Amino acid sequence: MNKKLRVVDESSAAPAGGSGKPTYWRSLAELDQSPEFRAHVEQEFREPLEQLPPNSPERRRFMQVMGASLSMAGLAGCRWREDKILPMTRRSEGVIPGTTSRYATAMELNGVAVGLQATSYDGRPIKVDGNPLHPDSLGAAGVYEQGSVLGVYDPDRSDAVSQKSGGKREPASFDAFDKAAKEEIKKLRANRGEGLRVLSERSSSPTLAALKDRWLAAFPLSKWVVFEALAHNGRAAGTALAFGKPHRVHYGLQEADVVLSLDGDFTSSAFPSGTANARAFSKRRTPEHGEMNRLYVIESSFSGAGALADHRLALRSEQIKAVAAFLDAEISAKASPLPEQGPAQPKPAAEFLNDAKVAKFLGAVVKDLLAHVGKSLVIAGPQQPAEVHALVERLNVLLGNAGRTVFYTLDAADAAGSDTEALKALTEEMSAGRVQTLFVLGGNPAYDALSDIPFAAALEKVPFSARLGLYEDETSQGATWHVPAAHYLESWGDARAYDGTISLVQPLIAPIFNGRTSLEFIARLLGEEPKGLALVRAQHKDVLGDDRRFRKAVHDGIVEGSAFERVLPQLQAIPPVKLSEREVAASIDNGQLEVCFTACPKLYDGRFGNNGWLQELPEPFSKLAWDNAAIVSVATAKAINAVDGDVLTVTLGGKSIDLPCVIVPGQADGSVKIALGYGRTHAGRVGGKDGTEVASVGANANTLRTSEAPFVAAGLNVAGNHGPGKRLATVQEVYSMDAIGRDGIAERLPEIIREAPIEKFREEPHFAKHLVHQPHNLNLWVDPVSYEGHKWGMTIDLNKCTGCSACITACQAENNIPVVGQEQVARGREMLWLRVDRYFSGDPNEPEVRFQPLPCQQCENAPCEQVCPVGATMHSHEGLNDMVYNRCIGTRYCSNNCPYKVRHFNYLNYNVDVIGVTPFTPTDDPKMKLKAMVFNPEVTVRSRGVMEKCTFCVQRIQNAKIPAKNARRALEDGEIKTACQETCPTDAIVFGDLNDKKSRVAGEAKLERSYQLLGELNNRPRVSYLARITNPNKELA
Amino acid sequence: MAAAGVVCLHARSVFMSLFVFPRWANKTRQLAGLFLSTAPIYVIGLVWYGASPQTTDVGFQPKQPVPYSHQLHVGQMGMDCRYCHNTVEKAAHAAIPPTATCMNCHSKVWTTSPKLAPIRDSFASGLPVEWLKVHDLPDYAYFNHSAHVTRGVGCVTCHDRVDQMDEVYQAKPLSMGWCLECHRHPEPNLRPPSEVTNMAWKAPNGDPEAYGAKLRAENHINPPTDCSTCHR
Repeated sequence: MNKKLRVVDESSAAPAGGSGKPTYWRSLAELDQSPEFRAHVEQEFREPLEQLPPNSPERRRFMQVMGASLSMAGLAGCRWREDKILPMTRRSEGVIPGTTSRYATAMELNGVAVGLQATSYDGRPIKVDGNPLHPDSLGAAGVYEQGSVLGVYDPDRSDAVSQKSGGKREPASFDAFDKAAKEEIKKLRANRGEGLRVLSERSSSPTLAALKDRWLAAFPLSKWVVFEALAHNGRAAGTALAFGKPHRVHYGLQEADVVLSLDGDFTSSAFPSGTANARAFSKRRTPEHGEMNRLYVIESSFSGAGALADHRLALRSEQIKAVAAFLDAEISAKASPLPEQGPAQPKPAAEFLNDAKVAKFLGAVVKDLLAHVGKSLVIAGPQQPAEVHALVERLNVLLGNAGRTVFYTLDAADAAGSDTEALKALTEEMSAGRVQTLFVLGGNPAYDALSDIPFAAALEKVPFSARLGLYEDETSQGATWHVPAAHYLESWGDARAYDGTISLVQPLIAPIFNGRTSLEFIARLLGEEPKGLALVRAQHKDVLGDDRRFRKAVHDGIVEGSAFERVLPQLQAIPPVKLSEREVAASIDNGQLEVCFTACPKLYDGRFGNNGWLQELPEPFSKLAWDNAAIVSVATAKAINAVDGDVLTVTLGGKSIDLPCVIVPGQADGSVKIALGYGRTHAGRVGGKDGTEVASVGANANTLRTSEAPFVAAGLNVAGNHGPGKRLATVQEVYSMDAIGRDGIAERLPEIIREAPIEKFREEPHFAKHLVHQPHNLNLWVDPVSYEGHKWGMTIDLNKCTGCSACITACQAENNIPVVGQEQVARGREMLWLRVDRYFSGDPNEPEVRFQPLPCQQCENAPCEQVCPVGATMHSHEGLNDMVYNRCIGTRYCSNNCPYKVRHFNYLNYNVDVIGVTPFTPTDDPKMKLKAMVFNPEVTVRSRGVMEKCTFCVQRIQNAKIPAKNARRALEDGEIKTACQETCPTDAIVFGDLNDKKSRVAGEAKLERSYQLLGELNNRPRVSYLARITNPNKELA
Repeated sequence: MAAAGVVCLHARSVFMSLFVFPRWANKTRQLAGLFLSTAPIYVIGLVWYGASPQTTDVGFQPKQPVPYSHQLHVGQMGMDCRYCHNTVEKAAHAAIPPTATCMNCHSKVWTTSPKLAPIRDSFASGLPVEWLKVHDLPDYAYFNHSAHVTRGVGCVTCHDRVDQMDEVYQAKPLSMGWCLECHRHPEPNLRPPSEVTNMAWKAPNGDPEAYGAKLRAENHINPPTDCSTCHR
């Protein structure tokens, strides 16, 4: 028989798919098989092995010396170091050393509080989770909240007052500052506050608002300016346009059958009530529990909403205005608005709207929205201009959604104003010398003020300025005085959820560096009692008068019934939107590219720049860590002649920065996305600090932003391409393969991500199980364990994962996972136990994306257990694959054998050594010992040379099992929640006892669409995935 | 190429000199052979017994800042273990009591004793008394007291007759092997949970094995031997 070897054409760009299955690919490089990629892939190891030649003199000398020192090492120190026990002097009632307690508190971000439950161990906070009673949390927490606890123990936190003297900063005492401030205040009281300004970040704290009123009453000639770098004034201005007054918009996503999002990731932590929105939305993504909703997303760059979308259209952010006008033109015509609601928008004359694909998409959207009157929802992204918001709310009203899927509450009167205008005015006053005294509360305006607002320079001109900040950062450099602030986990305070519910903030530890909260700072200046608890209590005396009600509010974290009242606003006429030429153009060339400045999904506006966990977290879509990049589409990259990793010089309005180029398929053509929050110059040992060897992480895009277009700007030019720069720390391309392997993978990937449209699922519910032929697997040996007790298992619903990666940060916080730094991540040595794999499918110009969280699969027949030479990884009687660190000798055979590659090896002593400087900075530094306080004492801190992996949070399992057994009671379902499960905003991860018939996980694992990853290898993993079911519109399928 | 006695020099000798045994070593070859064959057995035995927890840990008796005598307080005066170590039934750690517990009595009794000065200083200043841990397990071993105490493993099983110790010393090796012995065969070490702090308790019918077996069946005691029981 003549068998011809199939010769794979290595230059072919399209992978072999066929048989109607979607074609999946993991990254563009793998798809394209460029020569550079081939060279990279053909090296087995990322770095050339450093080899000492076997007989070199260095090696023999080394052996001699080692031999000598071994013989001299005595048996001294056979016992480990002595441990001390330091009990309290007085132990409060109910406090049990070595156990955890949870306290409700809240974290405020951009004026919105997310309710949290912080875990305290022996008097210090070590973990943060959501507060089930809080409307913006519902028990879940996003990336920012999970990462925030590391900030309490940041060695770079400011620990002392400092004073500017002669061009340098000298440490000073609190007394010195208080004295100087008192003098200043005395002067100001005399002249009624002339020349006095306060600049604060956005806060919804009622106590601070009351203090502000008292301040302005005491200093009538002064001004209080609010500036938040990521303040999105579009919604307030837009609702003012549509309803006459600024309103807040709240979504009831559970009730909506059809959702359209215009450039808004409503599931993100950066979106108000994002976490709660994610939970509500995901409740309608379970086909077994009723009718699924359908999500259409039109956006310029991939977001969590885009990942979940049934249909997605990539358009530039500036084109959304025309889309909104078009939708109004179409829908108003059918929805018959009342005369006072104004006429429909005229149909925009937009070139791109005539594109067949776009027209088809929008036509289907219009039809679907009109078919679900009162059960649809249109959402606008915060960065969109006022006109888009106005039109979107108009659509919601006309479609009958108001009061049913979308709700309105009144917003503050000044919400429609522009933060940037306010800061600009203040900076002008400062530059003109009209400001004598300035107090800056939090924020970092010297870093994130826009490029046309020279705040840092103006700050130097103010004779007396005092800055209250967590770090001695960019803003503190120019201030006369810097006063350390208290972290929110050290503070008494209050704030409001997006719907107005008052959330009380209680401290979990006394301020470590005697920091002050904004409340205490202002109260002290006013001469009032500067105690946070007293201030908050006094503020809420009317509602929470007696001790018992106050304590309950502190315990719950919320004041019941304090939400804003819902209103039903009257829609008024919206004037026709003006569309510029470029806003309707179908394509944009280099030199005129659109640029979108977005909140970094990890660093927000840069405030988390010194947070190692968040810097190391791979950004969900580019999978880039420790850097920001110019994100472009495939076509745009070709147009500007750039490939992944090229360092580009981008210019806007005469300013320029250098950024690496990263191609993310699905980015809109002609639009470049740049994340804010990078390029910090005074962040610290992690984020970068001028004058030290720690370089800034990423580039500061604030230098390109102007106050005219702070979020979406036009006219970006890619001026130069410097070729490949330093290797980017991405975590997706670690296990790439060559063309033959790629084709094999492409055949395999549909078995890893199993999905089907809902019709197919209804016809063939077991499609997911039938996708792979699973032969009847026999074991080589008799299974020693029969799992009659607990049988721990987990299901992960692929229908719900938005890729937000909060689970990864939660896992890192819970399990003492070290930060390894950019260089090590670039070498493929990141230590994150849980990873979220990103798969694209379809045409690289219009792909869909799927996320798959991958913890250790806890295989019953684990390949790793069978090859460990020392028995460091064994199987427990409850199904857990135990990892015993003290037995591991670092063979790494287990990781080699793991088909999922979920094991991570400590190549260096990551947990002990400092990251950001060098790996070998000594740790007698007391500030480093502070860093160690964030460790969870229930989990071993691993040293160099041992393998580690996900343990299904075995410490949580044990700490629930043992008390239950002591009390002679059975464990209830839901009593044990793994860290990833607890924080997931969409409730995609479910963990529990598979032997408990009534448990949620047993029910989910039995669903017809559940399948096991690589189950055909006979590993018998305990983690099942629920196949992705899409709900496509038949017209667009 | 080279006759006996002529050393062949190599380019490598620039870096290190060639080692040549002196002539008298020829006579000691037999002795050397004997030594080389017995040395490994000796070293292994030395490490096996010398470095085992029985040798290195049993008898560990650090000098505490305050000469607290269990023999006096527990043995003579009859205080129950749980008066001070009151978290032992609820938590993993049987906590060393806070200074206030000492001051419960010693604010009235022996109020000026110089031996109790560190206690009084601690109570006044708010700084802890720095006790040295006697029964110290390595950091990667997580032991839970409540799981044992509430099921009927007596204090004396692991800590021996603390009520007879003037200064506490570690009497049992507390090695993993020692723990596993009981986990695999708990019967001789079980007692009714009400008797856990009774240092002098003996099984009523003189047969701890049989009595323990009865208790084991009654209380459904199944000590796990999985790694994750103690190692996380």
